[in-house]
Amino acid sequence: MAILGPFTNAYVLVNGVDLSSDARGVHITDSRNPVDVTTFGSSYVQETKGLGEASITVDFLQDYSSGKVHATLQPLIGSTTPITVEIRPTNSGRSATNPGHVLAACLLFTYAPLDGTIGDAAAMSAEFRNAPGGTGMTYPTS
Amino acid sequence: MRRYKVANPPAGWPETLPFHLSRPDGEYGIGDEFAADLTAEDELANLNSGLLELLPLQYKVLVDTTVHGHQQGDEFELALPLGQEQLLIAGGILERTDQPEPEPEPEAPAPKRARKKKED
Repeated sequence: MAILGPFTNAYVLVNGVDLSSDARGVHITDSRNPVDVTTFGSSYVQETKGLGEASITVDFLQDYSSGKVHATLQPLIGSTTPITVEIRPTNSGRSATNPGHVLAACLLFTYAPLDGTIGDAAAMSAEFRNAPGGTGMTYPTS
Repeated sequence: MRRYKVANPPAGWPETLPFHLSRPDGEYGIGDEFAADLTAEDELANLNSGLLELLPLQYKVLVDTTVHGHQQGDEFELALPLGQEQLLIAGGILERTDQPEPEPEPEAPAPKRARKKKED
């Protein structure tokens, strides 16, 4: 087994636009809300899985050039049209060892176009969450 | 104007009955193609339901970024839903290069005949 790392070359695709060269961090969450189903006689809280939640947050260095970060993300924040976001561990094709982490129908919920103070890099982040009709996170290998 | 193909009958449509999609410009059976100006929401609903299939359109990448696997200046064909197309065009990332169908020219109104003044 090969451990992934160092993590240097992730692939970031937002609405078909490859923003990998402007990204510096990815945070992917695929969770299930716990539902308390504890009954009398239990000595521990018993929980089952409720609704799923899926999100992808990408950290970027802001770029206002045409076709880059701002040009791609700014139209999304005011839109309710679902788009696709895909992250791969490395910038090569999908495979069993380089699966896509895909939100096939998601919306941009948070766009912080500038977030820093004097002397900082113009780092910023964008958070995508599962859209109505979306099927959550999938992990295609081809 | 975008082109669509009738792909499947609506869910629950009886298998033994032929399905035709009625539109103001005619009726279309499974596999038939037609042009329409749907809203992004209507298009997405019909694509998601499987009723319609979007036929590919031609685009050009305007920016120095890889877009749907294509580089700046590349022209390519893609069945891109309207809402996503609008977002990419709004960002100045893509442009459509296929020629929209020319709209029929409105018929010129017949020249009015000048009425002769009645001479007294």
